[in-house]
Amino acid sequence: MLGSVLAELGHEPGLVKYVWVEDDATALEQQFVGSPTFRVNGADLFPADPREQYGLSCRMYIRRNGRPSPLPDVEDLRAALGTALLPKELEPQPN
Amino acid sequence: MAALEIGEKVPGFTLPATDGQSVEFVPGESPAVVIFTCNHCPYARAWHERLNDVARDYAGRGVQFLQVNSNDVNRSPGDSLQAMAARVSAGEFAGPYLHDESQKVARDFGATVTPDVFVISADGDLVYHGAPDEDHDEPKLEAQWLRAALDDVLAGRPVELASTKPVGCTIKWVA
Repeated sequence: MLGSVLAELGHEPGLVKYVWVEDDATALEQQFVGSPTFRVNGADLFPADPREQYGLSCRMYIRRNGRPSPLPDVEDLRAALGTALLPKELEPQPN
Repeated sequence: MAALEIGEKVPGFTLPATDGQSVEFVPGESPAVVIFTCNHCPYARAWHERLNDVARDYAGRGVQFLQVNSNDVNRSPGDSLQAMAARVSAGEFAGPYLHDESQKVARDFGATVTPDVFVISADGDLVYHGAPDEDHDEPKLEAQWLRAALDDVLAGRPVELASTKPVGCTIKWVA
């Protein structure tokens, strides 16, 4: 899903860095509230409730139809990425 | 920790519900469904309505339906007894929601994820283990695997589809 949304927005899938969080210490270090978490430049695309505890957990997203889901709504992901990422033509060009 | 095998006798248990009352499961008294679930898992929440519809639909047919939360509250604070009670008070459950604080019942059944569905015959044998249906994201499936197993049990037939892969978040074990 992430790859196809990035492609739609004109970005390369290679832009994505995957971080495996496999223990509680890493979860704490990464301030990880659950899987999957999508961050752009360190900022969570879907900010979690501040009361959420760091740890190895699944995140629950609520889709636009109101249904709970292990993944965000693709429209929400598209909107969040579109806001967080500059359009390709506006990226700084090398001199 | 191995899951119970199809055909194996299942263990009984007594667990507190959210109102503090103990609920006893005695295998061999009636057909039963034991579902390991929780508050915080998106798969459990996605299947929740379907499962509770089954509980309502089969209650009048002598099927005991028990939903059990075995998650460690330290690893998953959203699975506290208070949070469980809030959901019950809100009418979200068609039957008792039991707190397996020691996680013994989950271990005895070999439950691994939420939701993890176990159907027990009137003889106390495990006759179905797995997911409610094929897709957590398709409400129209109506927990058809679970319903089919119950229909077979109530008709006195061998369960045709006895085993599927349970799908969900891992049970949060005490560290």
